[in-house]
Amino acid sequence: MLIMRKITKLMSTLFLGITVAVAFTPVAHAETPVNGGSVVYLSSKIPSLNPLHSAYEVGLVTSQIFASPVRMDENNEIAPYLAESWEISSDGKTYTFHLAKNATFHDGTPVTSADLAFSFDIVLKYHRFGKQMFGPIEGYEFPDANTLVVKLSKAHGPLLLAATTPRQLPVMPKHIYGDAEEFMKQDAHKDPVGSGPFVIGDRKTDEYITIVKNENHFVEGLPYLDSIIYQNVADKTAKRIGLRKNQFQLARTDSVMRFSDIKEFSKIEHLALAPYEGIAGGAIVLEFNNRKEPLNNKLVRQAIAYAVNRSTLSNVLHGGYTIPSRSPFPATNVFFNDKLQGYAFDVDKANSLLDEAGYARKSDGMRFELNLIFIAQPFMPDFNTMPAEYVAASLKKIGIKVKLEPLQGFAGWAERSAAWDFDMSINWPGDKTDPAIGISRLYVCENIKKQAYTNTSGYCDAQVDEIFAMAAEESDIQKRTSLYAEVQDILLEEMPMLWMFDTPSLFFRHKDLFFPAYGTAENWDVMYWKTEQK
Amino acid sequence: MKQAIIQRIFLGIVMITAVIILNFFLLHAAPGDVVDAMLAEGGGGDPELAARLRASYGLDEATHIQLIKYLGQVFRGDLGYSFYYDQSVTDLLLGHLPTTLMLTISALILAVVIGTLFGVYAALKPKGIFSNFVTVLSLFGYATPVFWLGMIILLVFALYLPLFPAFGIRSLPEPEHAVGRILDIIHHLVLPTFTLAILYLASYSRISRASMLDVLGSDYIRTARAKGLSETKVIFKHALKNAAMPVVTLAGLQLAQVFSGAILVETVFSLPGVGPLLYESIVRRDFPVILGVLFGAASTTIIANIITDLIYKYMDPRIQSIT
Repeated sequence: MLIMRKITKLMSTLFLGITVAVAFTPVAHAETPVNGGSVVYLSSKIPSLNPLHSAYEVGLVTSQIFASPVRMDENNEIAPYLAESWEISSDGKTYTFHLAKNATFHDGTPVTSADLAFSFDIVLKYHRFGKQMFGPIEGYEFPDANTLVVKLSKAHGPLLLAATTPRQLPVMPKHIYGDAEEFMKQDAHKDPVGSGPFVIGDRKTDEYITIVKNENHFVEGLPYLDSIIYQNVADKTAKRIGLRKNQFQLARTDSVMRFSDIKEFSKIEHLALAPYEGIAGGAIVLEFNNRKEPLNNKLVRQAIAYAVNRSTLSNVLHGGYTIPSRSPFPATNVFFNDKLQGYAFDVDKANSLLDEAGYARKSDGMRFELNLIFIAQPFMPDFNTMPAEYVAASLKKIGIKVKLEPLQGFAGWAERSAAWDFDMSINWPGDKTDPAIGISRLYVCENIKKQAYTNTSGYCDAQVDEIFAMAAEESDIQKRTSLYAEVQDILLEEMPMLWMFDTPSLFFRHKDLFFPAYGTAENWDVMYWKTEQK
Repeated sequence: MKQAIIQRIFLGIVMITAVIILNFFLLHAAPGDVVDAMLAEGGGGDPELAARLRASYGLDEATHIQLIKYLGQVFRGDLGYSFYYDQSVTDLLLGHLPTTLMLTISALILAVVIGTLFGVYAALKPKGIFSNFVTVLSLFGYATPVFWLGMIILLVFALYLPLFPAFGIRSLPEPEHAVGRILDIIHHLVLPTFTLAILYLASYSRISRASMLDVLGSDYIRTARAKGLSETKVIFKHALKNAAMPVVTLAGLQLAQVFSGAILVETVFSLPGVGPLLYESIVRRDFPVILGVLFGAASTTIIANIITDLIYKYMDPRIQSIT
């Protein structure tokens, strides 16, 4: 049902090829948005304002400073943004973007097709997923200052979805960034100039960043808010005090607090939890090293999947704020196969699978030992230490001894992961909106690389490779959907990794604040106060 | 004297070079680099991009080549560039240093003055109530983990009795007047300064009490009293001057830590100081920043030692040479 709705929605924008030019107008809401007001967002550190920086919180700021060609609207449909319309040729190899004529950068210069082409090139070269998003781009044509024709060497399904967020495709002014040779070493990152709804205001590194309403924004009537302050607070006690005292009106849950705190904060009268209704997702997975015995045996991998009660993990230990994964794709993904239900919890089945695989219990009741690497506390223990310990306890019951190996920080974990030096690993790959960007990379043979977040599990299957390749080169949304449905079936059976639970982005908001939880939950220009604030 | 100082400075430079070399190799022995950390943080990325970034950051060269380049930079006064923060390490340190120095130096002064006075009064009546109070307070300050103390102080004075702000170094929006802004910063610094001072204070009161007791029993104090000098003069002019030597030693040691000695307090009170910067940089393997902080800390230690020696000489003329 859900998937059909998503398909029809996407079809109307993608498959038809031609979109009628409609100016983006703020949608009518049940309540009337108040113009003005300010919001303080409880942030973690924002080290830089480089729009291609890797830190999540940086993207929350730069997504307001920069605009992307298109974006997701409240129905999770691709909507016009900087591009007021676009066309895709029938062979899927030519994309034509028509930019809004009134769009200007914050310094007053108009946004032109040259800026868009420049941004595609920079992202292609310096973004972490540049190649996956825009790799087949071959060249550009510039019919006029507002029209860009993008030529591809082959059809490329993810292009438009990848262009829906400034986190992935910020449109940057060529006249500012273009002169320096090295994009990652630019002075311009200190005072970024974009064409987004907000401009950078007062700020102190490590303390706070203020963004202020762009009075000349090309979208009529937006943004609603006058300013947003990103306040960096490191300590848990200080966060609690600030939330209680209404010093923050918006906070993202997973990076700043534990699930046990969410329950406590939910009792605070002026706070409400905004459920995620968007399209970008991720899941915590238990990655198996498919090269090594006994994990090279499918039955063993399936046995482990049956042995972990993921419903308890999500519903009890995480208080229901995560969702047991049902498929290799997060349930929020546009191409999620709604028929799949994942593996049930069945210890007997797990035991019999292990017996069948030839790993009988030894005299001490154990069958074999596996190590498990994960990022140590204090980094997001609900997503790392807790599931690791839960897996160890669960597997002990089916005779698998687990040696827990907590590693220091991302870097410590990434090194072991990149060296393929693990039996099992707790990993958190995001889907980055399109499966061809964030999902296929974990399974295709050509991406088996000595680098974290590639196909480090070493899973390799010619059929899976072929389906992923076909789906990526397909711009017909329905054909893509059926290809991805098929690959989800195969992967679920093969179980190269156990998809434990989906991790939707949750935000605490003030009860009188409208928060756009759709798309990638980053269209903060449409955030508004429902009542006048003092 | 002048020559001695020059000699010390020269030795200091040799020491700092040794510290840099040692730290450089230690850091490079740690797993992972900043590219790993950044890609992992961003949810992965393309191996080709990683290789390109390493090349542009100069991380693909052999460790000893990187070291030579780095040393060359440092002697030219350039501490390198942080790719995580997209700015130069010098700017980064200068941005974080004022907060840390304000915090540590005011806490140190507070602790030295109050701690020494406590110690002196406790020594006058070693069995009295006040003396016992000082002993208990010192043990408490000494044994309490500073992050716990900070949290309790936060809860009490920022939540239950909301007299002070819970985080940061300034209010938003900032007061318009310059005087208002200064008062605002002081207001924010009260809780962290007292937290840190309580920790420091313990050592000073203990040491000055013990040292004072020792001095008060010596012959020249008896002579001074026999001369008919007032008790205040005996204690503060005759006894304290000698009893304060260990306090100066300790203060000198702690002065050496002003640069990076308040990581926990800065973290608990969310202050934008050098401590959290160092911690974050270690997690992200941002080597230029870590090396920059260690360079600053080593320099501070050497300068603090020279200052301590000068104070020694002033307080005890018997000490002739500072080497």
